[in-house]
Amino acid sequence: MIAAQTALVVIDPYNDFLSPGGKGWLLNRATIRALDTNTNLERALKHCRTQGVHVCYAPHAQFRQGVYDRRRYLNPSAYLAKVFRTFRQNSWGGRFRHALQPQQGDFVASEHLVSSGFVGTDLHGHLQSSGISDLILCGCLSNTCVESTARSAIELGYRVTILEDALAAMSLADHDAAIVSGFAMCAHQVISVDALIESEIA
Amino acid sequence: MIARAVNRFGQWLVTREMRGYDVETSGATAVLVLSGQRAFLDEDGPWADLCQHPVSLPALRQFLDRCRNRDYHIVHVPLDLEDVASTSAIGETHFFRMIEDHGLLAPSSNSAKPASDLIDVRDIVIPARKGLNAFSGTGLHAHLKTITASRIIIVGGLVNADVDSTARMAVELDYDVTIVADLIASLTDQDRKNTLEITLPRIVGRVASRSTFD
Repeated sequence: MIAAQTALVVIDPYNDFLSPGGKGWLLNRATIRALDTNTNLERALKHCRTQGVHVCYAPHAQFRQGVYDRRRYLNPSAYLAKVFRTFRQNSWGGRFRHALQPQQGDFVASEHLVSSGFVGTDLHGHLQSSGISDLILCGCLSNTCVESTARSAIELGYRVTILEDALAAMSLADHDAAIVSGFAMCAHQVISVDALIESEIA
Repeated sequence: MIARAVNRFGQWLVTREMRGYDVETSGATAVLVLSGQRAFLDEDGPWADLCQHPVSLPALRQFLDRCRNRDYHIVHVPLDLEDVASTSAIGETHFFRMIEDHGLLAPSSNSAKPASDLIDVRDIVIPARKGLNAFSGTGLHAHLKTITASRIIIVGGLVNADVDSTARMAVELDYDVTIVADLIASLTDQDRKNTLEITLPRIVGRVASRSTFD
């Protein structure tokens, strides 16, 4: 990988997904504990920043009144986000987990409303203007937003790497479904954070 | 235990909400036929050997006839690899490498052409799909807008490849999406279960079977 052409994209690292007490914690905690997700996300961020890899965030829309009103159909995950007011604006759950906060020089893309970090956002424009061709994806959730973002990314011509142990999902079965059947079709490689750290980034 | 109960409660809420979409839908319905080409439908071809669950051509034909009788629009979106370089980022992904390795869509071969007995004069054929997602660079969304389609039924294609990518993008574009599970191919039982029973129910409105449309 060439640092100047690579971006780490952290998807939906909200307290509601990743922190005890978050609205998705009861569902997500099994994968977070099994994979040691939060530690691995921190390690991936630290390593990429040290190596000069550009860090981007692809955040899901925060819940606020009317945010879903322009949708004719709410798909299952968007419907549940509306019902449970997931990532509510100006709430603890709607903030990024403390240890995963953006730092100076990072890019926080505009919000995605459904699941792909590219659809309706400024992420692709920013990556293009930054000369990025390779993406390293991590965050939440394995078979929804992360996989959707990967599927969009390959259509847009990016080479996609997914960090298999820096992910969370609503169950271990969901995570395994993404690893076995989803990422096999939409990622060029699926590696651990250890492998990322051991790999050469020029 | 608690997580399973929470998950089930969520699924119950979703099912209840989606039932309302059946009643409220006012736009037209379009059936997207993904990869309806000989290469993917011939019973004796290499694709049938690769897939534990290939799509049955007679069953697909019968389903499309039934949909035409209901005045659904039939939209064929074949895969066209003619200009997809094997060295491009998407050309290097597993699905495209598999197709290339097995010579499935060799340009100008008969197997690359849409199965003519699936196509009716009233149908729409969208050419030049170069990726997994049928909306990407094809003008499909604009076609669907002109026929005022708001509901999409997906048949054909490979469950965790073009079916999944197209379904996700259709949802992003605010269509009500139904996948007909028994008219979708899969390489393995596990891919089928993972995609149709675990992942796609979180993404799309409905995963149904042919019998739902009887």
